[in-house]
Amino acid sequence: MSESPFVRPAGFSAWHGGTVSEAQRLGGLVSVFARDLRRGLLRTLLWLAFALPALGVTVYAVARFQITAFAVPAAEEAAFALQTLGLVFGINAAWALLLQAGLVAPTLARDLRFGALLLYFSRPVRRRHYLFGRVIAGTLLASAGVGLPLLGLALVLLVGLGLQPGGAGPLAASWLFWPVVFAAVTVASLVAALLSTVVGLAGSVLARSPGRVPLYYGVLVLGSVGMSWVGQLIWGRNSYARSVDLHHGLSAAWTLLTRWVDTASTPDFVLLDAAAGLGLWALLALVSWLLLDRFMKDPPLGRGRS
Amino acid sequence: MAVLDGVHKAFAESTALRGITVAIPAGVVGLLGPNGAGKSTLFRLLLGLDNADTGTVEVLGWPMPESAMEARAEIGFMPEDDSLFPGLNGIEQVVHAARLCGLNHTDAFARAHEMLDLVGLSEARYRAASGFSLGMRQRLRLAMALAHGPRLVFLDEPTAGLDPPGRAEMLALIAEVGRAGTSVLLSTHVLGDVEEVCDHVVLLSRGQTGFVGPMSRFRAGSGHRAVRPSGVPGVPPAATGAHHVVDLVGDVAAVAAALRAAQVPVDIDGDRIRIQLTEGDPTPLWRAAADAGAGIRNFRLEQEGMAEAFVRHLRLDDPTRKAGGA
Repeated sequence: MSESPFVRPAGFSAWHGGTVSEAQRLGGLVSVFARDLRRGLLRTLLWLAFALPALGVTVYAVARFQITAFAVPAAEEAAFALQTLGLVFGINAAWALLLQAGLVAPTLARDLRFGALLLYFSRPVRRRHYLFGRVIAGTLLASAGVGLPLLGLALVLLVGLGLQPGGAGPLAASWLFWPVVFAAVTVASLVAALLSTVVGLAGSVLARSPGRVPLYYGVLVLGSVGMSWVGQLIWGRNSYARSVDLHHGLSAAWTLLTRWVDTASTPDFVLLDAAAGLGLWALLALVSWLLLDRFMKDPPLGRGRS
Repeated sequence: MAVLDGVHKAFAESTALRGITVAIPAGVVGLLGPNGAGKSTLFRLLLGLDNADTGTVEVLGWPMPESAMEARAEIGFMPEDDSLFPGLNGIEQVVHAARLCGLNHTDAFARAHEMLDLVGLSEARYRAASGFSLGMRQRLRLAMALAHGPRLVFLDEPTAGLDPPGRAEMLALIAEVGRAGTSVLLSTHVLGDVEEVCDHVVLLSRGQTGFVGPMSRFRAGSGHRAVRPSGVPGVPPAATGAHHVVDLVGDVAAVAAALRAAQVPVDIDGDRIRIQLTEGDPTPLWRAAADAGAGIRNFRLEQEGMAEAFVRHLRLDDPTRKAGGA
């Protein structure tokens, strides 16, 4: 028992228990980062981000089915399903960008402001693991925001089209089609979320202030949309100026993955347009990763004070 | 617990450490030095956050920064900055800190509860840490540094900004940690903190070590046995090489002259003289007083204050002063 009135009766004792592996520590890091993302003042926004698209999808699906479901010729049902999913993917991509700008992108800047990087790196945490943890948590959140409502819609379409007796076209009814649709939704959501997360975190490095990161991200995305519109005004709607639109480009992976079915509505122009949009995102993400990697080699941890 | 050998570290604008060689012992060690002395840079090197330009750094037997991951698992660090993990409440902060050091989720929670009890934050454990007072945040950071049961803890200005009760509480906690066998390296500007809890002192000045040794040797005279005032028959014991203060009644000048004749260095200040007994034998003083017909009212060992000792060690380390004195 301590002699001091300030020290609690139990006193201090050393810890002699075991420790977990480095991979498990990375898992713990991701879980804390992911929990952090759905907390605080932005919790409401987060739930809105899930609830509103889900509501939109439901309303859209119900309306669309009531009006047109049985009017779609059997041969076009596959294309119809993919077009519907693609349309909602575009809407959800906008939500994903909002999530990124408001929640994911400022996390690194918040750690900088709170001095948390020093707390991480003075413990046995590799700098690259910290970065991986942030990217994985952000990707999981954003891909859930994009993909979960879409998977729900795909399920509705499967029930409405694929499982209706005699109502499905040859492709939509094939055993391969629907699993591939679910896989495509998942992969396209993850690609969109991963690319936008990496770019968003780089915004943290550039802005350094959590309040300014959404602004930087917004300027980047809206700037690209504006440039795309100007380009389309000059060169026409079906010009490659569309590829500059980062919101449009976020759906590119979906377009590329589903083109093999939706040949009627995706001519080569659309394919190339999507490839260019995805390429632009990939380039931005690569530059962002290099920026993050360089930043992590010597992050500001209060050096110079004594 | 840590060894630095010829460590030199320079930044673009300044040189923080100038080839220092020091073995920091186990126990509670105070790291002292004025602003710009290189204390924070030393911490960064000990944590493996920076590479030394030249020289080697070893902490708990691990070469740094090559084995930083292994070493950091056995090190706790409480930074000077008001650093916390954003968005977490009190117990989550400690759990997260423990998990980063390798504890599993269950153990981390159990340990976090223990540590929050220790630092007196058990009532506030589920409150958002961002709403804690400065003193609470300091105690929380200490709990975070201790959560994984480190062998060595670095504390950077743990009492900065605390009120007197908060400071006393923090020092009591640090002393408790030291008593439990965990080594502590305590960096502070508050000399009283070091005096209160530290066994050893490392003083940095302009990137070099000004003093390394036990607390008892830091202050001149503090390593000597206290001497009772005279008034008892016979000659009292005195301390070898130490300065003594003597209050006299009678002809002070005559006593001083007799002492000087006996090769004893003397400074006079009114009725008080200050003598240095190189052999530790005060007999010449008693003889001189008897010959001059003076009485000795008080005879005591002169003990230096922490502040004076701090300044003296800094001056000893000051090359400009040495040059000026030559």
